[in-house]
Amino acid sequence: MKKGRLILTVLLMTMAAALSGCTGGKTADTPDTRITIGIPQDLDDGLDPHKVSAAGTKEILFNIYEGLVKYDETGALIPAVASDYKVSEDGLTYTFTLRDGVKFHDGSNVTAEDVIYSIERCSKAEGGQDPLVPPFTNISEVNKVDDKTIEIKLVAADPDFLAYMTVAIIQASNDDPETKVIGTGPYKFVSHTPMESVELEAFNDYWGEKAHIGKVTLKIVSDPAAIVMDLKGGSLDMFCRLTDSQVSELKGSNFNIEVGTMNLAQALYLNNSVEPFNDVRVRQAICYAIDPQEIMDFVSGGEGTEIGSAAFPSFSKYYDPALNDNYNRDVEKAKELLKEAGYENGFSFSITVPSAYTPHVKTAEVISEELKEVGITADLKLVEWDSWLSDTYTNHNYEATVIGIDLNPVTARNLLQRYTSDGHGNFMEFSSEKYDEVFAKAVASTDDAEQTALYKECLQILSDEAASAYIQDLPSFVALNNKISGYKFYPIYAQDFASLYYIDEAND
Amino acid sequence: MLLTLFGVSFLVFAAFEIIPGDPAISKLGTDATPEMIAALREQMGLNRPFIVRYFDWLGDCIRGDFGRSYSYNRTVISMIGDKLPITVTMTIISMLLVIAVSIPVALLLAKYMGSTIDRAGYISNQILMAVPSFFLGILITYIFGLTLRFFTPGGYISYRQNFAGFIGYLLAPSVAIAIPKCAMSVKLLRSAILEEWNKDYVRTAYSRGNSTMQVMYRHVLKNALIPLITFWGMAVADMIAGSIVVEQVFNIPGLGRILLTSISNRDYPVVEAIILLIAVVVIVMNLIVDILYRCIDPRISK
Repeated sequence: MKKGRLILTVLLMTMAAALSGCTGGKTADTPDTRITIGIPQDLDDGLDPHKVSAAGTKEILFNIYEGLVKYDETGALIPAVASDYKVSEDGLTYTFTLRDGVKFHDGSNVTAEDVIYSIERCSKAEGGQDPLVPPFTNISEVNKVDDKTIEIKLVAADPDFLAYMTVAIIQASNDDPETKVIGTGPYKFVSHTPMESVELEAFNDYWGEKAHIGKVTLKIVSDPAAIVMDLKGGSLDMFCRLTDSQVSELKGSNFNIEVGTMNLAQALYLNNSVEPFNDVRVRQAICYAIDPQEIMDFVSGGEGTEIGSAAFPSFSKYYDPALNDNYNRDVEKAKELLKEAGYENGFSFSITVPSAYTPHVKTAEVISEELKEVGITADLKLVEWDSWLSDTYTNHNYEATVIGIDLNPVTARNLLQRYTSDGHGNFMEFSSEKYDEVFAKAVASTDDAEQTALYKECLQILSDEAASAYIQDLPSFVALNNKISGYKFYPIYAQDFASLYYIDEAND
Repeated sequence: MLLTLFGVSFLVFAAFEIIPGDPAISKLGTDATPEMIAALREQMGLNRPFIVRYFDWLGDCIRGDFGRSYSYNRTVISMIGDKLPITVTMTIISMLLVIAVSIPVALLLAKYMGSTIDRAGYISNQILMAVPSFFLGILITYIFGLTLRFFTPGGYISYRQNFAGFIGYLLAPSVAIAIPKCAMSVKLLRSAILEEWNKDYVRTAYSRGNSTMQVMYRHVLKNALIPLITFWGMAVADMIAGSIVVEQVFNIPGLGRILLTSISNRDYPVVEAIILLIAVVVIVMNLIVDILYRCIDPRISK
């Protein structure tokens, strides 16, 4: 049987040779011009910048498309396709001057027609449906003054209007933005292989500071367990929004961890229309029972920022740290309130949490423990994201849930309309006449100082009425290869690839 | 056979009726207004009764039209067509590995029956059989990927880009898939060989002047392979289904990726087509096994 042994040896040798042969693939790329970034999900809601809904898609399109204005990393609006803008005294007319030399990725110049087309595409209401950008119903007309000037007239003054001018400018001749991905941003779109990867390339004719890294590959890594392995193995240079445990696994590797904030309001959102959460005393009792600091310590090693109402810290105009102390942990007080509400012996309910979001799941675990001390039993109900979306978010079929609410565009109106009695996305079913009144007054106001004060009052009401038990703005951990630098955190969902650079390159 | 397909397709369709989640809400996300959801449901044809939708879909399938994906602006056929070569290649490599490794190893163990080699082989076989592929995948990634750097974990290369690199990357996951099946094959083949070895025809073959070598390869092995063919046939179907997990570990965008993504996106047309495909593979493999039987053993066809 010598032959048998021989075959085996030969086979093992070929296998070993073939396995070691795999190393060859690594050298193909020149490291100074390419970065591979892992993303957790595909851009599966399409690429039409006016229609995408997923935050994960929007933050990537941020590199490809720009509006007349765009956000910078402080959350301020800076001119982009427009070089300048003027607002009339009455706040009803916005005049934008187009920047010279702004080009689309196919080399053509941006014209006034393109801008008008883009805005009108988003404000058109077809067949009784809302326009693509619902607040655009406020636009009464869009006029071309001359080749470089656009005038937009509003029905009612709105100090937040400028934020909506971040809407992507596309070509008037673009009949299918889903497949013709042509914008004006620092990176141009090259290809998208569904469920695999997206390729971007630096746009050489970009009007502003050009991107430093020539090619960006976005690679879909859907298995959380594979992320750390792929980073350590060298097939990924960067990954955003890692969990606390992934960060600790990366300690001592060649990755720097950047810490920012997620810019969202994480809370134990309560369904205000179900028993016993329809009683404000019960909601307050829950707020007293929960200690955000304990949650932050357990979930993310103490990182994170406490919030006391619906606004998160980077939204500094409205964020009020004083609200954080509205309900400091007080077990006795919580028990007292429960007694007043007739729940002396406590009650039980379930917290619905999307299972894929580890920080929210962990938060719910801590809350469940904390509530035990005041006699409330909270069971965790882990669901898939899609079930959460349809049952909890859309159909309000839940008692309580832990989730983070983000904001885009970053306007107080966008943040707070959710809590009005008939507000869109009011899955808390929060309803307060006083709140509705103050909110309506704030929206109608044209004076910035007065409006700010009114919106702050709204946030105060949310806290006083304990609309939900607000916890924190989660920390955001980004792993970045230590050869690369320049990562910027934005207060909106945006990943700015253009600011990244290889450290050696910058020294040259 | 058609009945099986019919049953499978109905069950899958019905399963999606029962599980929570709505494709329209899933696609539109948190910004959706009720009007937008209603309009999209209408466009997707979801507002029709279940039975009507099922038979419509079935009719289209028979005509070869599997519809369009809800989430991607593409036909289901082109989506699956893109990813199928990846999983099929992986399955082929694994199967070749199983065949190429298990036969010599089984022969070796059979030859040294009862010796230390045989016992060591038996123990390692038992262990390898019990270890699931995904765990082997993680082990292989740690040992060969992270420590020895034979390959880059997650460094999948598309077959369109570089075919050799593609095959190279698929080797590690294929090994992970192959090992448990290989151990199983060795166990089956070893006992089949030993069983055949004690049969009367072996003595006859010897008496006709054949050497041990000749008896083994011409007669015993050929007969011993018959029970194994059934196992291999099922193994192929099993590998395609099992690749779903292994693909996750190695970050390979194959059939498994598309299936998982489509389930979580509630992209029903894609999921239904993939499940049908797997059902077809199982049925076809059974058919192939039957045909192979007849080729190897002419007695069966009589």
